[in-house]
Amino acid sequence: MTTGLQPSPESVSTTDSRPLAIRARGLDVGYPAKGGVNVVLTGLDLEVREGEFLTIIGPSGCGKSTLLRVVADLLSPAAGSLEVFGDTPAAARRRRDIGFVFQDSTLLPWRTVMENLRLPDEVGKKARAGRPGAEGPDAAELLRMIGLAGRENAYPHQLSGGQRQRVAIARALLSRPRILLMDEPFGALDEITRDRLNDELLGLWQSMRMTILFVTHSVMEAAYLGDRVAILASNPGRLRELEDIRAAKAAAAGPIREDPGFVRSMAHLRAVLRTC
Amino acid sequence: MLNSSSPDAEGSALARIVLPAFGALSLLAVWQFLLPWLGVPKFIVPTPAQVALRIAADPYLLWQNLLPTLIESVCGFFIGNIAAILLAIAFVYSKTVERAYFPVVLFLNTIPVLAIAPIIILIFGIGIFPKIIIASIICFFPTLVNMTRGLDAVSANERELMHVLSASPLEIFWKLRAPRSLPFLFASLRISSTACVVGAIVGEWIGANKGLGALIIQSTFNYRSDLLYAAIILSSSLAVVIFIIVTTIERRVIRYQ
Ligand SMILES: Nc1ncnc2c1ncn2[C@@H]1O[C@H](COP(=O)(O)OP(=O)(O)OP(=O)(O)O)[C@@H](O)[C@H]1O
Ligand SMILES: [Mg+2]
Repeated sequence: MTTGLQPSPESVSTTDSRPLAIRARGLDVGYPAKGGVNVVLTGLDLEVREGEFLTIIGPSGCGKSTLLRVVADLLSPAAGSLEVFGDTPAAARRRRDIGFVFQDSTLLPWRTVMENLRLPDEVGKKARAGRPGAEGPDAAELLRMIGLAGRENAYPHQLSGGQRQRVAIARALLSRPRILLMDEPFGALDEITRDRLNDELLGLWQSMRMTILFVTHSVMEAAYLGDRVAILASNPGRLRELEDIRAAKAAAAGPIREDPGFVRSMAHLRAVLRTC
Repeated sequence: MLNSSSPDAEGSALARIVLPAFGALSLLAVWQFLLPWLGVPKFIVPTPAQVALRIAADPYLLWQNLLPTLIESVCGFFIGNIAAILLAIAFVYSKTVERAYFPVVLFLNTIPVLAIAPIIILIFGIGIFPKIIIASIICFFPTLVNMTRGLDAVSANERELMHVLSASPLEIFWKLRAPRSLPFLFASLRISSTACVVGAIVGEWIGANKGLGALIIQSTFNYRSDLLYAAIILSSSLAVVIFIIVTTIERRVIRYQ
């Protein structure tokens, strides 16, 4: 299934004994269209282990956002199944297992940073009833972690794009989701800010041990962040390849982004992408 | 906060208060001295000084007529806007209701208030109540349109965010739709704040023995132009005061942007 990288992904995934976070089997997804359904994703098989960082890349319109929407219970599969921790996406959503970060931060402009962070606590109480209170960093601690301590009373329009996106991530993390879905969260940022946020995200991921599904258009970002990179092809949207690039990054001596082995695996990803 | 002693702030204070005041005073001065010079008689157009004297001479008469207009305007403002907000909520939650009733409301809105007023007076008589209705009709439509738009002005991402957080419909209303709609609502409240006074006065023209509208009609027929101008100034001032109250509340409520 994959070429050019060792160890092969099959050997990695069979030795991986972590529980499954997401399991898709023969997944078809479509949008209602006049005269039937417009199928966007077909026959998708995918397993994501708990704690894994999976990046998703593919041509525009191939269904990357659609895949995240199914996991977040914003869309139901037309055929096949998708399980989140062995449950339906709806049950996972009600348990607050799922956090979502959009490309635009979707902060509510009439709320200050702190009030935006409180939103998840204020809503969905009925659906969450019975779930033990989430533990983990509180709002103040998260603000410090994302370098925004002291800005809790700022309104979103007073923040830079990068700061807004940090707040959006903090808001998603506050409910301690076990799966964090991110749809091109840094797509609108300049490269330097994006690189910095990538490193901050890796730090948060390592300290909070969650599963992340991260959609991006940048091969560099996909390769830098992901344990594995899922490449989707379009027309119809389907899984083209799953590349495990942990080994390439582990072998890097010095800065990963400039490492020859890492650059080679990026070149490989680009080559596959060109055929999608 | 901008430092108030900075040249910028001084410039804006000059631009915002001193210049308009100078503009108004200069026109008043021209009015005061040009009219006698042109030989315009007092009963056609009084000078500003004559109007001021009238206000000073008859404060009780003016207050007696200001009070009903004030009550009608303010009650009409509240009733018309609250009714519009409630109907907008119904429209947003039921497209069926919107499709059924919006065209009717749109049609009713094209009838000039001057044509509706006699009908209302005919039905409800010449008390204060029909004027409240006329004032509220004037406030109703802009708020209905703006509020419907405002409640719908939530982005797909915002809706998806609320869904991922398992927010209930009520929570989505209070935490998302209602705050989203506020800037739209205040835009129409600003319109209503002056329009409600117009509604009350039009109602009083058609049939009333009290109120600024009635005073305007009576003093016109009696060639008491100084009283007519005093009534006009009072009705404008009433509208301006309501407008200022609305914008002050708006600035407190909408603190972002
Ligand atoms: N709400 C919708 N209704 C109907 N069709 C939709 C809807 N959203 C997306 N689609 C279609 O589904 C396909 C996949 O869309 P999707 O947003 O998942 O693509 P994507 O891979 O995220 O693209 P991009 O990289 O541009 O964000 C597209 O062809 C799009 O036209
Ligand atoms: Mg997308």
